[in-house]
Amino acid sequence: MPGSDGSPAARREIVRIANEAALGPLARVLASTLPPHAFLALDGDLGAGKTTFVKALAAAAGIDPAEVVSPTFGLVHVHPLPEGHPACRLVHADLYRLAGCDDLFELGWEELTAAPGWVAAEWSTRIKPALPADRLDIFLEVESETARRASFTSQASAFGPLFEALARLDNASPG
Amino acid sequence: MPLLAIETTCDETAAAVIDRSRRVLSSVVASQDELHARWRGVVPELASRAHVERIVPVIDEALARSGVARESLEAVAVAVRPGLVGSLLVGLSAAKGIAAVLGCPLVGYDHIAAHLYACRLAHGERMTYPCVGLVASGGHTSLFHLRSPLELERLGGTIDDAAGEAFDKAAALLGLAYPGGPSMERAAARGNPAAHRFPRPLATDRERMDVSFSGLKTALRYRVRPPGAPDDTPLPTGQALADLAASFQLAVVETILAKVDLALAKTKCRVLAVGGGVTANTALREALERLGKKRRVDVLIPPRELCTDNAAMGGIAWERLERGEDDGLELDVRPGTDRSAARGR
Repeated sequence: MPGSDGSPAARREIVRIANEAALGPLARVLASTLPPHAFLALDGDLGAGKTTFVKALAAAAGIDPAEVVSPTFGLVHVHPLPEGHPACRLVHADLYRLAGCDDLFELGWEELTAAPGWVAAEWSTRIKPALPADRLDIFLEVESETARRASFTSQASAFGPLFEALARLDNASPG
Repeated sequence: MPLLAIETTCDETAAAVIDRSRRVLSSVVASQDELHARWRGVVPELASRAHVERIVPVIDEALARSGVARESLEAVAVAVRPGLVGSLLVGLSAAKGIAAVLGCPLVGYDHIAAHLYACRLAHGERMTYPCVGLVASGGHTSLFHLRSPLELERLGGTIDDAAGEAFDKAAALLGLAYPGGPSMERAAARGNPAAHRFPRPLATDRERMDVSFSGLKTALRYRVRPPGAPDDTPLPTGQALADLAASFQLAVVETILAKVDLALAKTKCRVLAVGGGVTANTALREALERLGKKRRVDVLIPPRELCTDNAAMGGIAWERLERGEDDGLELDVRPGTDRSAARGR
């Protein structure tokens, strides 16, 4: 669906996550439909569940979730995906402490994001001008103490299978 | 003849001179907290630039205070992991430069193992092996079984946020200053730790020696701003703030304590070595000392200046030098996580 200006129109799906257990099925949908080179821009308040979300995605892709700890201090953690996985690795970044895009150079950001793999970047709005156009935006909102709402937005066609799967997930659990 | 130790793993630029008998002749720390306070945390670009500015004066100051001439140094030691690559490289480059000029051995060490070695510096012969080690800091929260100063087996640790990070994020939620540990402790001083019952996930699990602080942070968030409350909900002040801080602090302390208790029970060790900036927290120190009395375990906690990041703990390099080890100028940094840090030497 091209937009009137020729740029592809953004697709959006909103998924309600009733509790942490419900995160598992959603993470499995992601893990099975993400392209091998995918940038996930993950935002939401402190305590919204960004790291928990990445932990669930890692678990769904075969990484020991206990290995996936908050990267706030270390800034970037690189987790190899199981042997033979097309995405090779999951780069888990937390950009909360960054002052801006200038700090990315020191992080080796280009090397981390140019190679095939999944990049899950928490607090991505800290580096908005440096975000790739073909990213998947994921915004987490607190609904209640246990429930979250996740909005997925992207204009990249590579996420087509994901959006179709999310739409099916949404239809399967109305409300 | 003494050795010069250099530390640039994260916030601190530090250098120290330690002699073979493990006596600390000088220890200089140039804290970057002031710089980082503006950004609420460690900023890598800023950190490495600040390390570059400070490393030479800090080393000169450490040598001057020790009264040791540079030519009299027997070896140079440097922390090579874990940490931010850019920051680690500043310390490594300085160490290599000095070792190359002097033609002396150059030895790399693990920052985490060094935190526990601070107990050997502070308490001498009371530090015996095997023992249990607890490291709790801004970036690390781990429990180890130590067979020797250099052999660490990781028993468990955080599965999400580090203890110091939990304090930093709680402080941010409560509108308190960075670093969060000291400001939370100050705010908690007149608070009632029983005012709020915060979760202690995994604390009752008597098998796993892991801890989790992410749910605790989220629980605090709901007390400060319940779901659906407007963004401009006023932050707690006065007694309400003190009670939240005290209750949060107690939850962190009890979560750590439960796993230390489990580690002592499982390993049957008679010595507990403690290190890392969070152990400067008075409530945690007192709780660990009470646990030691109850279990008849010798609890070794270094003085505050040896708990927070410093280079004196680089005295651990003597353990390698005494074995005749020398990494030479091929030495490289090994950034990585808490987990990878404890693996291998």
